[in-house]
Amino acid sequence: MHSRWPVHAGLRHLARRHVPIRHSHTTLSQPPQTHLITTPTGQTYEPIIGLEVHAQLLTSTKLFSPAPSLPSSSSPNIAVDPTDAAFPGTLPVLNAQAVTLAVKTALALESDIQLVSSFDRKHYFYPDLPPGYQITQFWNPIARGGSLAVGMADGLPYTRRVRFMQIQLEQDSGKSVLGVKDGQTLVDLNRAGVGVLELITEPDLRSSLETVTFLKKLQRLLWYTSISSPDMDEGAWRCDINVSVRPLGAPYGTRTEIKHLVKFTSIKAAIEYEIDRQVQLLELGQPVQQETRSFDPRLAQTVRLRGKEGVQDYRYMPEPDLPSIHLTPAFISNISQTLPEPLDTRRTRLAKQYKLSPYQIEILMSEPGAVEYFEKVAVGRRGGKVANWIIGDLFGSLRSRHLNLLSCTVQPTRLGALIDLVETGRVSGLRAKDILHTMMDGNTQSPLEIAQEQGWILASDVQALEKLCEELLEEFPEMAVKVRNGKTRVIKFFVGEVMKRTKGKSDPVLVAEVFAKLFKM
Amino acid sequence: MRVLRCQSLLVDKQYQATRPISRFLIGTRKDPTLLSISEAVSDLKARKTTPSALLKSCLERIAARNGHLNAFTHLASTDELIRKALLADARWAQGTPQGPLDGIPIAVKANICTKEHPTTCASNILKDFTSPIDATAVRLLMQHGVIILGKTNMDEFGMGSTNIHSAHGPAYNPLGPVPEGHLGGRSPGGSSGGSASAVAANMCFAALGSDTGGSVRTPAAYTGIVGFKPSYGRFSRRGLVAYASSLDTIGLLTKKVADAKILYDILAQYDEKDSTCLQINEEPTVLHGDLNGVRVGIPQEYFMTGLSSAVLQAWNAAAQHLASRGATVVPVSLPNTKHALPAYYVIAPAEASSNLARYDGIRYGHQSERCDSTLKHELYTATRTEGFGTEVKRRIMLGTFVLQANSYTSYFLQAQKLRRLVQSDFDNVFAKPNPLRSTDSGSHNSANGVDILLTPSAMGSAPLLADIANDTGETPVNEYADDALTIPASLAGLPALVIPYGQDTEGMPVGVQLLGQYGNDRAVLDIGKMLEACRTPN
Repeated sequence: MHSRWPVHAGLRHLARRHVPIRHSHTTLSQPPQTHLITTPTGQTYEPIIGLEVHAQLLTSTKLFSPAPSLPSSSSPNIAVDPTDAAFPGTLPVLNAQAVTLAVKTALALESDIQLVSSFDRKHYFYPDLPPGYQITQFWNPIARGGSLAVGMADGLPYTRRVRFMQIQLEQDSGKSVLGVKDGQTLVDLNRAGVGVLELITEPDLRSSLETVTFLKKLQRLLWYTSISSPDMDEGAWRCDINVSVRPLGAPYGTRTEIKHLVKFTSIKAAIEYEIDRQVQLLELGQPVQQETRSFDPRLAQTVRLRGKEGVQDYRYMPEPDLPSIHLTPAFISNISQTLPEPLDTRRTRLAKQYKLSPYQIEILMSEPGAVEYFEKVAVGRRGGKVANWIIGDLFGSLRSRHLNLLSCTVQPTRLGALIDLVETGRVSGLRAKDILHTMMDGNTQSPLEIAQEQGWILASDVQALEKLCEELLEEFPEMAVKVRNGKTRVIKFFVGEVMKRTKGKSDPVLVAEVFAKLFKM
Repeated sequence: MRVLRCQSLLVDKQYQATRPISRFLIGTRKDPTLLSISEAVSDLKARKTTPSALLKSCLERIAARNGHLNAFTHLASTDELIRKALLADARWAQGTPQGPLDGIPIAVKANICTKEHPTTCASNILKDFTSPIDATAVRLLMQHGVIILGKTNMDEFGMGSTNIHSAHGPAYNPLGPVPEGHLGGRSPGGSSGGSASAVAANMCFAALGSDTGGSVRTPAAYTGIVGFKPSYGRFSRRGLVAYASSLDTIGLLTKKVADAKILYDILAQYDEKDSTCLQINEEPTVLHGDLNGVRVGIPQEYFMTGLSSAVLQAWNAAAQHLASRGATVVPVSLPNTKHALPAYYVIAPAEASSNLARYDGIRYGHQSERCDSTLKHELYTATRTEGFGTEVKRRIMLGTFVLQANSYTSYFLQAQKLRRLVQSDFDNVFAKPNPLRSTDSGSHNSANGVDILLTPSAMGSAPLLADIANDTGETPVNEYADDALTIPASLAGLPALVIPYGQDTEGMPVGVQLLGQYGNDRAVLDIGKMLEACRTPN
């Protein structure tokens, strides 16, 4: 899987003595071995990867203040309560909606919800952290354990189950903006205090592919359960990745932490770079330093931020301004009833119930709200047809307008009505696309009204159409003879005549069918 | 209007010599500032006085004495005060006062947020800071018509028990001799020294203070007034600038227990903006004119070395008076009392180091100009070095140390355990169970338990500033040790009331302290009222 062996800018001395390293080529019959790396010296290494995922909670207000949780594109410092700016005398008040979302996540990940959890302060000085501490859950998180498996359906050739260590509620920091004014750091506190769910995994992942597959699935699950926003905005979602390598069978090696990764491409590149870097160090008999690194996407390299000696003492302290969270089993079971069906169950059901292809299912499940939209349209209609409409025409016209499905103004009922017009032959497929565009552009009429107004209704009276066709056979007997003698291509002539005489309002497919019937073909 | 700091005491002496105020007061029935709130309110109801008259006499007192006492660090604009008083006059005249306290002038400690005045916490780091919020306590008082006169002096961020640690300079005890120099006077106690001094000097009818380890009770004892610290969480902390969040309470400084009760009834409200605010309702105490059936505990561990004879005398006299009113006075033991002081001086600094991390000079308050502000750590260091006083720095350093990963277990965690021991001591002696702890009431002995504890409130009377200065030069230990009598109730979150009870040979007041079970604030105030009524007149 590591086809490339990069030369690292900081390791040029190694590159000179560079020995090509062959990655083991394993077959699918030995799935757990695919991640192993065997060097020419015969040593086999196993990468070990663990994650800390931070997902912003989709709550209307911040975790501890009444200020709204705004998207990162908002203008700076418009959603700041005195609490968020840590004015003296202000106190945090826990947002109940955030607790509900955390419990929902824990349930979706089969994590063990703690009936009593509490908040702690994590201290460090930074201009975008107004109080000088972050309120988090260090000692008693809201949930412990749980897992999420990725497998064939997710694009991994085998199954990997990733366990969670804990799930905790915490507040986000503000944003430091560099370079707007010369030599100054500007601070935007819109994000300060926004609720974040941190999910910490066990070191159960073994490769960049596994990690990206897992993260994609986790992200999908979080937006699917309406816990987190589906947009991959900077800040709405980010993760820290712990990477170490060890000789196969040995204890865990020294790990490095790559901070603050957002994009899947960066995550993949950072992990691969880091694995290679560490293997190469070990091959040269040098130790891996325990350190924090960041990923530079331009160089496609991880870069050292600080070493072990630079590790901050966060001086954790129980948060005295907030009492413990006490949850009742009844509260938890109420939330469990609001949980949608698990993703894997949904995938199987879509295939069975609607006979959708794996491709259709994958596309629908990748777009937030698409399955729900599809199922509304599919009531009383052919699933495969509906799925094609959504995946093809609808998504196409959304994409061309830079919209996503959740902001689509064409409701499922209207798309359904449009599909029906085509299916019953009242509107041609081509005109249907026009109608869809008209609706996307803000026309709120029904598809039928639009078609009527535009004169796009096909002559759908089959009897009238048959009559016209019969008349044409009499009008052009020599052409009819040609058809009967086997020149079937001549049917096109008749279809064309019908289209001409009905001013294009007939469905050519339907017309062709009528002629086929008349010619008893 | 900013009040001039006591530049020179000669000024004050000259002022006293001319004394325009005394000329003004000649001919009045009684100086209205000598009234308690309840007396003033009954005069208002009887139309014997008006809010304007009350305000005017307070302002005259302030003009005459504040320059010397340095009790107020900021006064509201006189025009604004008069405008408010006139409105209150009109309401009383129409018989529609906003509440029983409509037009009563009250002072607020400088660490309680008000939108109309600076909230300096007596710190240079908040020198010109005005809060965007009103503290819930302030809002409740204003809703009841109270006029906020201004902000009072204190030990910086509440850290101190003598009011010498103030960026505004020390506040003075109005009962002490007129000092010949700054160190000649006596301390009003701390940290709510300005509030106590203002009330004791009759510059206002009552004051809000704050009490983390005794900051309302010690000043009350030193200035001969009533000091009340409610149960932790009984008054909202919203708008009280945090020192040690798990201990901080807003407290009351009044002339009479009845006044504290009036303010208590206004301020004891659940506030959804303070998650630690108490939602437990109180059972009313039933006292039928005497204390029959009331059991009073005398904790033996409070007989500490260093108690002055005047304090012992007052304690003894108070016990005898309670007994004479029908109470059963019994000795009780609180064996972990000795652990309270060390536990407090770990927990409070730890929380302080955290709470004060926000003063970085970036969003509000003092920002150093001495350094390149683009280097954040230099900016932080310079700002905080310039902004904080010695005692605050000392506690931040101490707190930072005890929260470090390698000292957390041996200091902070141990202190929390000790705190729990101190708390259970109290639970073991009180007849009522503590509503915060799960009650296996089987183990609770209501027959042998006591309803209230009677203790001294300070080791002696108000110290001379000169003596404090000698003591605290290098080690603050003696100043800390004075808190031993007030800290246990803070650690346990109990309601505590200090009542003046006699005086020493130099005529300085001493007080006694009543402690009730958690949540039993009203019982403490009710019993305190009876004790106050039967104290020896002095």
